[in-house]
Parts: sequence; structure tokens; C-alpha cells
Amino acid sequence: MRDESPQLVERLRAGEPAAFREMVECYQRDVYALAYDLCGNHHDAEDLSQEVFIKAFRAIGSFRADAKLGSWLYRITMNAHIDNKRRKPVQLVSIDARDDDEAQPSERSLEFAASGARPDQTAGAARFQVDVENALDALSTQERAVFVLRHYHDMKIGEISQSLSIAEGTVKSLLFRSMRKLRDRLAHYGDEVGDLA
Amino acid sequence: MTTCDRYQAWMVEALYGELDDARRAEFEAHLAGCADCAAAMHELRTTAGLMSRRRRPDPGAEYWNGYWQKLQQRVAREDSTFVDASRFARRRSLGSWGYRVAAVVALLAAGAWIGRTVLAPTPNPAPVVATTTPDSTPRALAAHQPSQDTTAAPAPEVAQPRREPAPIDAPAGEPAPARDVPVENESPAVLASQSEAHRYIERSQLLLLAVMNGDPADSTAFDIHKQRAGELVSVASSVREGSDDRRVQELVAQLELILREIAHIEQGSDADAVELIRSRVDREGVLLRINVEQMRSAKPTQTDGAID
Repeated sequence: MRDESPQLVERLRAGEPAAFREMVECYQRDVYALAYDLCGNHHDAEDLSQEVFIKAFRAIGSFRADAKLGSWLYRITMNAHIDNKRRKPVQLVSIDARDDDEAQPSERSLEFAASGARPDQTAGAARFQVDVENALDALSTQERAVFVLRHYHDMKIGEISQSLSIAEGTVKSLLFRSMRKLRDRLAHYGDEVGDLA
Repeated sequence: MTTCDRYQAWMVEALYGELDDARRAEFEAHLAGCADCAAAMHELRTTAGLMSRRRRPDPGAEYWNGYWQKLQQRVAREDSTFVDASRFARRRSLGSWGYRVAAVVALLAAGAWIGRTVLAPTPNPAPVVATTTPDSTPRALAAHQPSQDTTAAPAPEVAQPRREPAPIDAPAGEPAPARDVPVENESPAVLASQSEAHRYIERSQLLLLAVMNGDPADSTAFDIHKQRAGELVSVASSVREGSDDRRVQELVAQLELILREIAHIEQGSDADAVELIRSRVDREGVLLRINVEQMRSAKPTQTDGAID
């Protein structure tokens, strides 16, 4: 998440409409990226990212001048996403049904193919992307939030703890658990990729 | 905790380079001598490597160029005051003061309520309320016996529990209203739905208190909590629809979301999930809202029959 200029923050706090457009254009990609990582599809990510900017606009009076705008937007994104997930009725999906879904070309794979896949990508690579998204879907809301913040958005465990208002030990526990679940879901890829380092 | 458990707890920090130098050296020394931990760490690194290969599709330049416009269109649909940013800031400021004043009033009211109901001296179980008429006929008796000749010989005094005094000015021929009937005129159906809503809120309050104060490791107790939460969730919509009070509806809806979380705790007593629920209850001030609603709903009742 990029750093903002102090002037932009001041103008935002003063309620200058042009400053909001500036903020949106500055952070739209970052907020969308986090929203996509949390939701796993473009439609929900777009909806969530817009919701974040609207909430930020309405709550700018509560933004502390010494806080980081980017972190604040991240926090709004996380809270809005978790609230949205709580509001939606719980969907019970059997393990068998999930496996059946994965066996079919899903909407996600079509979306990926349409917007992200390069012409030279093999079917295997596209399949891998779908498997990874499905593995993320298998995480709970909190596990996924903690994992994507640490893994894709480079937030430290302490920062995640503050953003989500949960203990650092809980963040570590959620992170460890999410890694184990992802490992189980992607076990068939073995050591194909090699070490992170 | 075994030695390996200790290092397992460090694995995610090690994976993301968050161990300080001393712990990292200790961790690596342990891995060098522990095949199990080394294998577990290797698996974590492999998984992290796989996840790093994930690519996020980019919607494209055209999408980003039109993002602001789409946002404006949505805002226009949702709120026509979007363009007046300063109003939001002012509203927020006023809102903050409003919340503070409301919180102070709620605390004062809570104190008064506690003082009246909890700390008040226990009433005499059967005090004698002698409400005699000039002709020595108890007024209550007169009220309930309109056809009785009030000039008859004096009747014995009527001793009634303090909580159910008879009204002193009930017109002859009309039954005395019940002691606990609210002053406002409301239909029995409305009263029934309000009562149902308040019972629901009270049951939810008890459950939340149990979750907030219970031992997360007690899986038996949490199984009961989950079951009760599920029962409450199943009737939440009917309770909400049965009430015509917006604040009650909102509170029931808020409770429903939290109860749903409790009902869907995955296994026994998932400590992380419980902590998240607790922090949410704290953050949203749910218990305070319940207290405020209970005080608000404690409508004034007719005063005890005064003694002339």
C-alpha cells in the first residue's frame, strides 16, 4: 500500500470533494486487489471496493491525522468484508458437491481465462490458478483474511493483529491453520514450485 | 508444551522472516536436529511457494479509467448527499457528541434502575394497605363490589400485598385495572409481540453473557450455547417482524448476526472464533444496547394506590 501525502490527508479531513477523487484514484487498485483476494471474484471485489470508498468518505471525520490512509482503507475493507460475510446466509455445501464443482469448468476458470490468462498459458497453468482460488475458498473468513494480508499484502503479524483487533497469537494460529489447509488442498502439486525463499 | 510445539509456534514467523536474530538462530538450530520440524517447515515453504504463483486478474486500463464514474453512479443511487463532503464531517462530529450524551444518559439510567430494583430494600411481604372510606368500607372492596351497599356495617380491613394495591379512584361498576398494565393504551397483540421481543432480547443477553464469561475450553457448555443460539436464530425473523419498534427490530437483527456466528462455531469451542465473537460484542457495545433497550422498555406503570 502506497504512502499518501500529508496534504491529501488534510484536504480529505477538510471535506474537499476533489481530494476524494484523488484518494480513490490513488488507492483503487490496492483496495480492489485486497477485495479480490478476500472475495475471489471480480464482481464481489468491485462491489466491496466501492463500498470501502463510500464508507471511507462518510467516516473521514473519524480518521486520525497521524494514521496511515492506506492502513485505514485496508481496515475498512477487512471489516466491511467480514460484516458482509456475516450478513449472508450460511451456505452448506457438501464435500462431494464441492468436488463435483471443481471437476467442471467453473465460472471462475472462465473469468480467469477471459481477464487474466495469457495466450501462451497452458491449460495446466489455468487449472492451477483455479485450484489455488478454490483452496482459498476453503478457508474460513478469518483464516483467509489473515493469510492474504500477510502473504499478498505484506502486512506484519502485529499490523494484522491491530487491524483486525485480535491477539497476535490468534493471528499466528489462524495463519498456521490456513497454511495447513492450503497445503492439504494443494498437496497433489507436491514440491513442484520449490521454496519461497 | 513439547520442544517441537514451541518451535511449531514460530514457523509462520520464520516463514515470513519475522523472527528476530536470536530466535531465528535457535529455530534453525532446532530444525537442523529435528527431522519432523524440518519436514513441516519444508511443507510450509512449498505451500507458500505455490500460493505465490497465484495471479490476480487485472480488469484492465479501461476499467480503471471508469472506476471513479462507476463509484459516483453507485453513490448517486445510494446517497444524494455524496457531493457535500463537509456535511458528512459535521454529521460525524455531531454524531460523536450524540453518542457520548446517549452513553451518559444510559449510564445514569442504569444506575437509577439498579438502585430501584437491585439495591432497594425488600418490601414487606404482606403489608396492610388500609384504604377505608369514611364509612369504613374499604375502597378496594367498594370498587370490586359496586352493588354492595356502602352503608352496611364496616367490613374488615383488606390486607393486600403491596404490589397489588387497588386503585383508589376506580369508578364504581368498573373493574380495577391490573397493577402492571402499562399506562399507554396498546392492543393485546402489540403487547404480546413486544413481550416476545423482550423475552428474545433477554434470552440473547443471557447467552451472550455466558459466551463472554464462559471458559472457551469447556466444549460441553459451548455445545449448549451453540444449540441455544441456533434456537434463537430460528425465531429471530418472526420476532423482528412481530415488533413495530424500529430500535427493537435493529437490535434483534444485530443479535441475530452474532447468534448466527455462535451457532456456526465449527467445532466444540473454537477459541479463535469465540474470541472474535467476544471482540465483536465488545466493539459493537451489544450488551450496553441491550441494557438501554431494557430500560427504555420498562414503561411507567400506574403508581401504587396512595393512602389518603
